[in-house]
Amino acid sequence: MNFRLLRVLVLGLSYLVLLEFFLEVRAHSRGFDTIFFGSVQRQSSSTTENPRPPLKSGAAAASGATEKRTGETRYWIASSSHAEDIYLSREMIFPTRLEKLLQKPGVSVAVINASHAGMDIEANRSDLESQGAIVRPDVVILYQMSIQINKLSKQLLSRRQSGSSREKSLDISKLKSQPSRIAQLYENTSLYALLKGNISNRLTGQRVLADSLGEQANLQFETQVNEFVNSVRQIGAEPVLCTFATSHTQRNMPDVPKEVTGFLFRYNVYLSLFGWFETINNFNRILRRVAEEQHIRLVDLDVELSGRTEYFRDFVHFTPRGHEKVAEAIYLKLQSDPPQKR
Amino acid sequence: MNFNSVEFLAFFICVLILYTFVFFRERWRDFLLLAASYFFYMSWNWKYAGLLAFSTIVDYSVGLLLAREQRPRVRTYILIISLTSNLGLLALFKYYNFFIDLSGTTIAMFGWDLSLLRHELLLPVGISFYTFQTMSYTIDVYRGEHVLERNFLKFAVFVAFFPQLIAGPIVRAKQFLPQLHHLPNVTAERFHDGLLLVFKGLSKKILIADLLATLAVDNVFTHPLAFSSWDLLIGLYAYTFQIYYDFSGYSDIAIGLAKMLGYDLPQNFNRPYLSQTVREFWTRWHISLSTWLRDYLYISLGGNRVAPWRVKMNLMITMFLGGLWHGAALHFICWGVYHGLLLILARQGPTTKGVRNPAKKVLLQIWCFHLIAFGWLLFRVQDLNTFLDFLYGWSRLTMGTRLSGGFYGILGLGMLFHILPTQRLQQFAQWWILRPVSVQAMTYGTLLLIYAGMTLEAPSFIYFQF
Repeated sequence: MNFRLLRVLVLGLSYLVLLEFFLEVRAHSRGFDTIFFGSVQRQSSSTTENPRPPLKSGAAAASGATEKRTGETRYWIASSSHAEDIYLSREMIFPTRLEKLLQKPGVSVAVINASHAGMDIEANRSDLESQGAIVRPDVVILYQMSIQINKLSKQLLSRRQSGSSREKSLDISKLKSQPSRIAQLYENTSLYALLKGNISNRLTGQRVLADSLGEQANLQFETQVNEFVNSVRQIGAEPVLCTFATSHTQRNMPDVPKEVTGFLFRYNVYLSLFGWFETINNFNRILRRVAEEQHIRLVDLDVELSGRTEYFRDFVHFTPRGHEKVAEAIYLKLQSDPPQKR
Repeated sequence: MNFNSVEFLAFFICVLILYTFVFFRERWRDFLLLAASYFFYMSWNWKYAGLLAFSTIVDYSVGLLLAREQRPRVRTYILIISLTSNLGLLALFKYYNFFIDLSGTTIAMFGWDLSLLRHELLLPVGISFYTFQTMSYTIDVYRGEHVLERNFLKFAVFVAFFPQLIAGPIVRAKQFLPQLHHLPNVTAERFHDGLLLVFKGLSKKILIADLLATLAVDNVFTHPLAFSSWDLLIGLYAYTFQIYYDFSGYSDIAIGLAKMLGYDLPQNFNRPYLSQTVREFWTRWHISLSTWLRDYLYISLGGNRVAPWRVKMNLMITMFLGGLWHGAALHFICWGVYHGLLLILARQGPTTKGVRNPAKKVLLQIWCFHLIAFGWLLFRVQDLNTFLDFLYGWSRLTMGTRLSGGFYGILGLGMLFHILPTQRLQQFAQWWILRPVSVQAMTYGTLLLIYAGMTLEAPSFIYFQF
């Protein structure tokens, strides 16, 4: 046995590394974080003293966000990629637009955009609990759902059978829940993202998918929303809930283009399109009920935007017009009943 | 560390590089293989490496004692030490809770609660495989089959050899130990052949088994009543092929990895669904286990050299224990008993040997396939309700389908691949290993990428459970 035999493996791996490198060049140039080139310095990056949450608002970033001026009203946006939106400039996204709408002569306002791609309600809550006392927001606006649905789908629908009850008594179950560093590194490669985006979503379309997340998902979602509301109130702020809006609704389900389903299946390999609509409707109902029961202001973005494709660049992310519309809807709701100052 | 994971790829490449350095130094080579095997095993759960070591030490010592001892009765006692310790491990980790639960329901009638006696120990991965492997060694030494190994290091490698440690093939001492005493047979042709086998196994696992599972089988078996009779039938066919491609894929990877390191492992599958009888099926399915059961259990019980009723009983006991080997659950026992009954009935019926009519052959194959497939239903369902749901679903005779075209395509591919003559595959392998290394490397790299993209939920191998 000699090293010459390993040539096929070395060449194969070199080929993969080279491919990854080229993909990373492309990804980096488009503003994504990569392994070889590291993080992209975004215009929205936070101040050095307070690296999290990413404060995308111009005013908030300029003020350093931590020092709250007397008379200043602070709004905290708890969301994920919907509000961060790395594809659009800071001026175009709804938190910044909302800030501009709220600013009037003699009124000091800052909108803290505490949103980052991949954050769920729990991450939002954890951010609020760790930074809320420092930033001292007066109003906390929650706009979350699709990430929650993805997580709940994985938790409730992932290989529910396939000997799962047996696997619970085996070492295998433990292994599945703890991805190693090597696996994490691999999942951060551009190659992985490309493959997941182009192969997995197509395969998911061929699956028998679940049409519902079940009652347990509703209960979990409601609990998470309630916990978030409690956390907001604990820091003395006022919670504001938003229903979730999507480019298409159950009414126009047959007309949903393939790109939209492809987008959904890219991130969620368990839930059918029907299941998505069902879950979104259920969760929106929960949000409305929680808002009513707990006397919380609710911005019904579902009614305002859902089904109007001009407001969306994909199923859940907004176009510049969509961001404008969201900012207006939140602004109007906030105006109709101004928040109490701390 | 699953074979179909990035971690395993990194691990195996490191092993190969180190192996190249120590290849000509026998002691170092053995040590590396042992260290790699234990590292691999400990990646599942480091605590259970002690069990592997315990089994190794006990059976190594028993082997030496048996070689030294001539008195038959004492030799039997020594053998019992090995059997008790190995079966004791299996009983404790695999069957203890099951029997506590079973007896608990009866004893509960008298007001006693046995649930407090249950333990919360996890079942160590691969325990059924390596205990059977070490038991076969001591039984062979006891029978005087000249397999005694005096070198502890080599014996430990035989027990823990990582390519087959978790899910077989169950290797006999006389097949493997002699290979450890010679320079491993690594040539360019064998190395590339092994690599091709690994990719063949990965293809079986990811391209067919996992896709069948994730596209339909999992759902069909979770909610049978949500599907038509037709879908239930197709779902059962799909599971029949899924379990074959999953396990034979694992075996191919194990055999391929061993070959790349210069060792030969026995064939474990030989296109089992082309069998014309259930008896033939058991000579083609999980060959290393079925021959183990034949040689160490069926023959020990008297085999077929006893009265006809005893032969039937021997068959039933063997298949019952074969079912129980797969897991401590009633559905596995039912599956074993079902196969026992089929084998008994096959002995009563007319022989199929010498059937020359091709149409009749095909009909026999189709009939046998359906008998086997029905057995897989017993194997797969985890409760009586799901089984009854399947029967009720079939009785409705509904024909619609919820299964996608892609799924049917994969199932068709699985069927086609199964009936493809082996000569064709061998011809392809011979043609392939003559291609330039760069072409092979890029193809393997691309396949890895495609398979990575196709893995929707990274499922484990089914036989890792046993």
